[in-house]
Amino acid sequence: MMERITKTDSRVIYAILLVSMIIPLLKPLGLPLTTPAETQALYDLIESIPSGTPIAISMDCSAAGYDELAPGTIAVLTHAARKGLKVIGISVIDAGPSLLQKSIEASELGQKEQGIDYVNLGFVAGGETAMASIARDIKGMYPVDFTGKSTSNMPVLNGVNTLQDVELLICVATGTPGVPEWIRQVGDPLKVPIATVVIAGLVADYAPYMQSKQLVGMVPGLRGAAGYEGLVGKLGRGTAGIDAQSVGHVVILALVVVGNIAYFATKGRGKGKGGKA
Amino acid sequence: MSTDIGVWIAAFATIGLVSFLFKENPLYRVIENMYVGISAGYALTVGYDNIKNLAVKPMLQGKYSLLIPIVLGILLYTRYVKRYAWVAKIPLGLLMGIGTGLAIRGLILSQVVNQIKACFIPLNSFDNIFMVLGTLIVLFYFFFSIEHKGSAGNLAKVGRWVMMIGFGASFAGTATGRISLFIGRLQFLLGNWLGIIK
Repeated sequence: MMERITKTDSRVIYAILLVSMIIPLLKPLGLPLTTPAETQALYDLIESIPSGTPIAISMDCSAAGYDELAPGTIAVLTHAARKGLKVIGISVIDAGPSLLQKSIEASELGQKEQGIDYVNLGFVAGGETAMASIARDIKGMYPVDFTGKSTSNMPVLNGVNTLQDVELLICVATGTPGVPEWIRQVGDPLKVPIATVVIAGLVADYAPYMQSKQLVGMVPGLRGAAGYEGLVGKLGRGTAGIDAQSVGHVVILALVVVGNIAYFATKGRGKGKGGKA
Repeated sequence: MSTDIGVWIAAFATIGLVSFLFKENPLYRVIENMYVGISAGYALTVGYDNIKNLAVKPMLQGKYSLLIPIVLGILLYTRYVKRYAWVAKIPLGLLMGIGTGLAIRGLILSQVVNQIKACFIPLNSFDNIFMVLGTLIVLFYFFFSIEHKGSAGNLAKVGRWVMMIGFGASFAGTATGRISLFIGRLQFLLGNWLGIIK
């Protein structure tokens, strides 16, 4: 029996995971959900910003990571729209502007007026160097927005010349360039509060920035997104997916435990044959 | 079920890529090549827009100082002409110098000074004590002026365990992230494409 478990075809494991995640998507289990403290911190901060204040969102997100970050980004944009904040979208990753546009359209910000309540400025090449330049001269780096409209007299950018003029910078990050680079070029030198909507795989890397207060808030993966959706009161795909994620985790844990028991139970038998991981 | 052609293409692309888990197959290879091609084409278009909006247009409007980066950019391509390939080293050197300089300037403040400052915390809770001791012990693991033997060796071993806990947290985060991505695709297939879920 144990021998058979160690030799299980990986496709069987994929099938088990697939079925275990589809069921809660079709029939939600309503498992309890808590909001992470760092997500609550971002919500409270946005809640405290007066209406009409500009904030920036940097969509430094690849297409491959968008599915994980979309629910959190949409919830944050919806919150900003309800608060009446001016949202300035920027990006240092080429796929960023299209993904930001998609998120804006899916959120309540999409019902507001482009150029007046929000703007998607688009992509600037150069990674960290581009961040440093955007920080010092937004209109110089973005003479036109994502749709090709001139930014020189755009109402949403009134009084916004550098990133010091925004109350908060939210980095939607899947990797590099991302949060550490924004902290290096904007957060610490210009004293601009930075928050992030980030993939779960980077949470451990970015936790020290929360501890040092270089990050003022974080929406970590699907869990953070579900928490933020709850705070905003508009349940979406983050909340719908969290049951599936919890079940998926339980299945993975069970598979790890069963796999290890089977491995150690059959360890001696594999000696001399090169073993089997 | 969706009537949007874009949704259908995205659904087939998703199924094609996921089908690799079962077995490598022609559909997977077609989708993979399409993805690489579309990404390259998209990057080229976006890059062209950047050069047009940030360099060429302002230069034609009288900002002649932009000629310098444009010429430097063009010089990068001399690497394809063997005789003048050395010229490409000039803009490349500038790119590396500016990039490294900018990163190091910010790095010392953000990732060294401010992170050290963040360790100056009262030792009045388990979290704080674990964080400060953990940092010191991990730093000790990388201190090679003392041979890691006896109690120094034991301390270094504890440092390794602390790092392992960190790596474990990172790995768990990555696994969570992959599951989230897969759930996102399932929601797309079951919701946007098939219309079974909202």
